[in-house]
Amino acid sequence: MEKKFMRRADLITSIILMIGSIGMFAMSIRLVLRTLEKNRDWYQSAGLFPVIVSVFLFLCAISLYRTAKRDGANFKFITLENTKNFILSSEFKIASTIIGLIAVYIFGLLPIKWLKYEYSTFIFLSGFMFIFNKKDVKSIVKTIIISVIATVMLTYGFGQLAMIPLP
Amino acid sequence: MENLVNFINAFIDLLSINVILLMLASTALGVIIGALPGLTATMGIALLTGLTYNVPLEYTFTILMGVYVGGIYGGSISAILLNIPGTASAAATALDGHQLALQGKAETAIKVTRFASIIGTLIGVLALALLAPPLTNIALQFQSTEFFVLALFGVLICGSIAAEDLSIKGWIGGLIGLSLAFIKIDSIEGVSRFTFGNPNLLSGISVIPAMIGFYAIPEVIKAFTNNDPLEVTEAKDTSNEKINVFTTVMKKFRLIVQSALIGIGLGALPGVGEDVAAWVAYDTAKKTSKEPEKFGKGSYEGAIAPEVGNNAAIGGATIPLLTLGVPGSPPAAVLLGALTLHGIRPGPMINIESPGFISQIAALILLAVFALWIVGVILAKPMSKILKVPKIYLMPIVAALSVIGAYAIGLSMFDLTMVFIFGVLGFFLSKMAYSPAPIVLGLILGGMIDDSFRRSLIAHNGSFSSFFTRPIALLFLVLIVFTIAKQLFDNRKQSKSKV
Repeated sequence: MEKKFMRRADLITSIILMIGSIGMFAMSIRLVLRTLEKNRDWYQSAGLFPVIVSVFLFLCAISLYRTAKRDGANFKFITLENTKNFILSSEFKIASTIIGLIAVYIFGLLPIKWLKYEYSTFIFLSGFMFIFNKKDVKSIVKTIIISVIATVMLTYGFGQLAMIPLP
Repeated sequence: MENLVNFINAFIDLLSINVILLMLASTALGVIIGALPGLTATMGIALLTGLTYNVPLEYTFTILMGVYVGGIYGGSISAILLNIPGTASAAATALDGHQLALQGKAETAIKVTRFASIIGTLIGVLALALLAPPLTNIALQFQSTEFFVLALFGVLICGSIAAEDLSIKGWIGGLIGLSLAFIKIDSIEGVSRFTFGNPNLLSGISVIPAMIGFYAIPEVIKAFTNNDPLEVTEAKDTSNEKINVFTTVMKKFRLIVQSALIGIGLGALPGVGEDVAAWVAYDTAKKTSKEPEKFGKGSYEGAIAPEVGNNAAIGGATIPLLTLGVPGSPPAAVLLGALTLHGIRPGPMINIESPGFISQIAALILLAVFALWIVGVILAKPMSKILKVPKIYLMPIVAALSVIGAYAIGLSMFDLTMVFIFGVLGFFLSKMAYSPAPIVLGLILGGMIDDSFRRSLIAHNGSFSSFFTRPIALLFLVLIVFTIAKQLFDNRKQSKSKV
């Protein structure tokens, strides 16, 4: 990633980290107070170390924010035009397609009780390869053959050879 | 001497047909995994940990150590032939290795790096066999205070060294890892912490699914977003210059010893591992060479140093893993998960609870060295073809393997959710130049750091005195303060020079 874009991302990340660390600090302090309410010593509390970590995380987030600002990043880049360009960029499209495919496999196909592991894996593999491959007959046949072989190997390797109950 | 005898005995005990064949196969698999860009030794070990869940202990670690040694070496092949390091630890090898290939010396370069890798691994394994057993005796003296400062130092130094962009990002990664480790029922107070009422989180985030997410899924995504065409150089010499590989490598004896010591030392630092060892070995070789001007233009020294360094780091990284339960590198971190799965508890008690296990692991690495020799010769030529496997077919299989590999460990659909979450998180973090190593190390060591910190305070009635009165704890505390101060000083100097 280009340094200019990296620092913009750092600026956003630093804000997320600051919010996250404040949230963590609040929850950790509540754990410490609960320990004290039970008349236990402060140093036994489950919240003690998270308090320390959240403080350091907040300090690091501030340092990241300052570095990003020092290198010229600001919030002016958050415009409708830039957001549109980002969403329409090929990298974003490819990344979100793959993330979507994996999400469909994990949360959509595998939990279906009547659809066996081998079928859901074949659908995932062939779908994945088909989307990114050329759409001619040779490539489609290759996709199907490789998907079948990979599915059989995964099912046999984990289900039979390693004797692991498949999802 | 006794340790050396135990090591040799363990090696002789290993020599059965099953183990030898399995080692050859797994080392070959490791070389292929390491050579293919996007697949790493860490990922290979993480995926195979699931597959070996029901396999007997001896065979499990034969497979995992074979993949580890093969994977670290394999990266150099694609570094030479493609100028793309198959693993991050081979990035430094690409600088001179690929130049040699362009000069028509690809086959010789592969042979030289293979021999260098074998020597590096051998020196590393000797260090493991000889140093680890006495270190466990020292570690037996460790109390909570020492474990706290040692583990904290590990996360901090890993964050400082592994950071690709700003060092602060390495520390943020470590702190994120620690925060993730807090999610579970607290072992001291017995209250649930940051679980948000989700019963799946009560036992904490499983390390292996998280590592599969962090190391495998981002690579699958990146393989398609980086649309670089691969130009594979054939693994044969076209140059008329004939070079004796043995003499070329052995003439650099000082360089080998220097790089091996760097590899072992950096490998033994928690979480730092092979990648950094290779770069430091390369940089030091350049600084101490009589011909530094040849570096980057096809110098054999430039190819030998990182390969000796990263392979010696295997033995180095295994030393703290077995003696302290603190992994020295990302692949060693996965091994820690695999050890726990198979009921081995690494740490000071390992010689008492699992006698002979350290020698067994050292013997397995030694066997992997011989396997690497054989497999390396066999695979050298066909590697050009293997490297041409299109990512369109390979990466979806890696994704499916990641899912089933993570599921196999706990047979839990929730682990798959973890793979997905950490995969997506890992992708975005890698785009922003956050190394996964400190996050993973923080996740692994977070429990130890938190528990040891409070146990130490409980043992001393809330007093911090033990951190300053116990010599080893004080030493690490000084190192922690020094690391932070040096980083802050460097940052200030950098920002002043910009102004």
